[in-house]
Amino acid sequence: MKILVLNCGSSSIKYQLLDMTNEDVLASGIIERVGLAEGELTHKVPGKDKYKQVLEVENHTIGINLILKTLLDNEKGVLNSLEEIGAVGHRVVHGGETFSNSVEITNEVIDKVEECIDLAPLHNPANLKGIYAMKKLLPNVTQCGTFDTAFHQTMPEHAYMYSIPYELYEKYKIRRYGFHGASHKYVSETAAEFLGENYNKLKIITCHLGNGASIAAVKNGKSVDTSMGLTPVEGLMMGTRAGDLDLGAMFFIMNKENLDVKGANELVNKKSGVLGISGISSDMRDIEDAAWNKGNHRAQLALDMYFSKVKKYIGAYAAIMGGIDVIIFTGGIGENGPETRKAICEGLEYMGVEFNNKVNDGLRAKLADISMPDSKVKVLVVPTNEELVIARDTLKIVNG
Amino acid sequence: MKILVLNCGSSSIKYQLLDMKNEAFLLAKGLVERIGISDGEISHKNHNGTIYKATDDIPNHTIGINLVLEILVDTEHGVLNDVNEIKAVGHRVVHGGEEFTKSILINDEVMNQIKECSDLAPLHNPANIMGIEAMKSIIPNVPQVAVFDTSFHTTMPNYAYLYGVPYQYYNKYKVRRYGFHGTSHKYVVNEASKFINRDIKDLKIVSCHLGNGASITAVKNGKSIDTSMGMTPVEGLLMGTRCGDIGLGAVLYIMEKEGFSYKEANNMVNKRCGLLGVSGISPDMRDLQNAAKEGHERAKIALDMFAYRVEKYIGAYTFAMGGLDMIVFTGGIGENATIIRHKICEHMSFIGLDFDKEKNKQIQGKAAEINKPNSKIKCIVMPTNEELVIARDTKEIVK
Repeated sequence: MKILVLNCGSSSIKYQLLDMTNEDVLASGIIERVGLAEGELTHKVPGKDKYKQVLEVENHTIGINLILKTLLDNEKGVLNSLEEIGAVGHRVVHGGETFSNSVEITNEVIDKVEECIDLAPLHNPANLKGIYAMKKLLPNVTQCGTFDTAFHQTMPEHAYMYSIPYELYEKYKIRRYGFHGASHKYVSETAAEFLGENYNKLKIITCHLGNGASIAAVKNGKSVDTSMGLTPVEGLMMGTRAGDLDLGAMFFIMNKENLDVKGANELVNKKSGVLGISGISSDMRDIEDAAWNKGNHRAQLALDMYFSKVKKYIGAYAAIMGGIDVIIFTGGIGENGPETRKAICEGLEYMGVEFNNKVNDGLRAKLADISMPDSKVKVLVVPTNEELVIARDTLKIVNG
Repeated sequence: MKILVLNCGSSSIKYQLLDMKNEAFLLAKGLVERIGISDGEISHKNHNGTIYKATDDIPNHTIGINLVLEILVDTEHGVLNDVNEIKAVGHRVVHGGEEFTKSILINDEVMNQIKECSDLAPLHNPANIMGIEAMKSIIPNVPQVAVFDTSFHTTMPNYAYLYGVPYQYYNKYKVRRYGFHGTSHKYVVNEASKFINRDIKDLKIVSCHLGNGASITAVKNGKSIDTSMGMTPVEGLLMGTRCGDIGLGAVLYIMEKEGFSYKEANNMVNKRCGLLGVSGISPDMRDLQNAAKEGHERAKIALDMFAYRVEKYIGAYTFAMGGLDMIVFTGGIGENATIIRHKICEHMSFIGLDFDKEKNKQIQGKAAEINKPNSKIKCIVMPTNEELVIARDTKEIVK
């Protein structure tokens, strides 16, 4: 069966068409600047040159129509008929407390996803736009939703509750939800398989380090805690997000700089993190270059802060699980940053981590064991594949 | 040498008079409350157990301190013949900013610097300053020493004390982690090291000060390298009424939904969260333990959340130090709440802590080792004594 996976942002649509017989990617691409002037389609078929087209894409329906046309195109396409698409899988960011698994999208499900808009006002509406558009264009094809938050629904109460007045939890469902669930699930399952171990008997810490970054503690196949919270700003220091910060410090800045809620949100989401500290860039590659090749002090500081924060989360999650069997690195930085991985694992020897510098050096975006053969704690690099999780979940639902 | 230790709050003065001749000897202690409000009250206790209580209007700190001195020389309840027997005064000062890395003799320049830190602790430093100024006006020739809550933590490396917000806020306003309870952390880690006959310079210690306010510190080779409270005391652990760590997005979300200003939000996270907010019944650990025993669900969650957060910090700091030799418990909860210590320590065997559950049950408010004899990691209960540290530092500086 061929499955189309869609990831709709507020002004972008990412897609992948997979043949699930062998889980092969037939085509993938992205439309950017949807609803803005000069939209752009980038389309890729394995083994062929990238195809780019600049055109105005007024809305998500027009964007998705463009994707379907491109998939059918004689030259660039990979399908003869849209009927070959057996199902569509959508990434949906926030499933609240309602969704702990991927589901087939029915009218009832749509209502519930709409109820979660309040919790993810930037993301869920975009995801819904994609769902509506697809329903209009392919009304008879089964559509499924995979939620970023679903994997973390297994967290115990003492991990997901915030210590705020309980009524606020009851009234607004304010609690930790966590994100990147599809990624944490995929890499932890893949790691267990790679090691030939029983997933349900492992203590795994998954570090999804990208521009957005989160860590999850996965015990016996279940997420028991994760660093992002109600929103993705909590936890690790990220490209432009502050991560954990003293509320008192935030109020102090709001007072001094005369910021309202919007202003403060903007500050902690867009201007903080690696960018805010270094003053140079939100991109780790730029920061590493500035720190290591140009001796930039604040870039070095941003790196030190980044590493130390990840390390502290690994320690915290080791404590709550009562140990660690596997540490996994994934995401843009986790997969492609050998120096980052090395810096994070430094000093963990006493916990049973024996890091393998030889394998780690130069290793990029490849599934590999970067610990010594008899290291008590295994350290792995596992390239993430959220689209594949969505496609697999969709296939499972369609097959009943 | 007799030293008076003062801890001035915005409407209260705590005091202790210690004789530091040989071993420190507590001559008297007490508390003045409701200063500047109405129905002020002084309660005083001296070393032979006499207790004195009185109510009076106490409009300001100077009058409050005068009352303290009067009672100290009172023929019936006092312990001094003459105020001149007080050779030095040690003040607790909450915020020393980046300036004060250790206790210091107070002069005009120091006063100005303490005043400059008021912005960082608007509730505390002004009260501390009132106490110092009152004392100066009453006994102008007695040396006064300031002991800061933040000093012990000035050894933190920059990557631990900076926040992931734009660097300009550090330059402009000194927004960073400072940490608190420094006097307590310093005292208990030193005492605990002596208690196990080890040199603190060789040890990696996690110090848990768990009281109504609570903080955890990573102490490596005798130096604080990280601590859970930040620029303000609201960060870190779950406390009686403070919320500790929480997603910024969550608080901004609440502000938006409830129409809170930052002041109202600040009030909420300081006064209505923590154990009180979750349980809905009390900020006091003892009340919650009783309620939990009777099956109160939200009290149970609050206790679990409290212990869970401590556990996470112990793990985080163990990794930050690259190992762990000793966990120290202090503060009202740390010294007395056996169930909480048990909850925190029961899963720590993987790092080498062999916790002695039975021994733990018997220890309240006294120094003791609560790990099994062969445990790789020591677990120590050590009652704190911030006044003693202040008196010692004061004596050292005056000498």
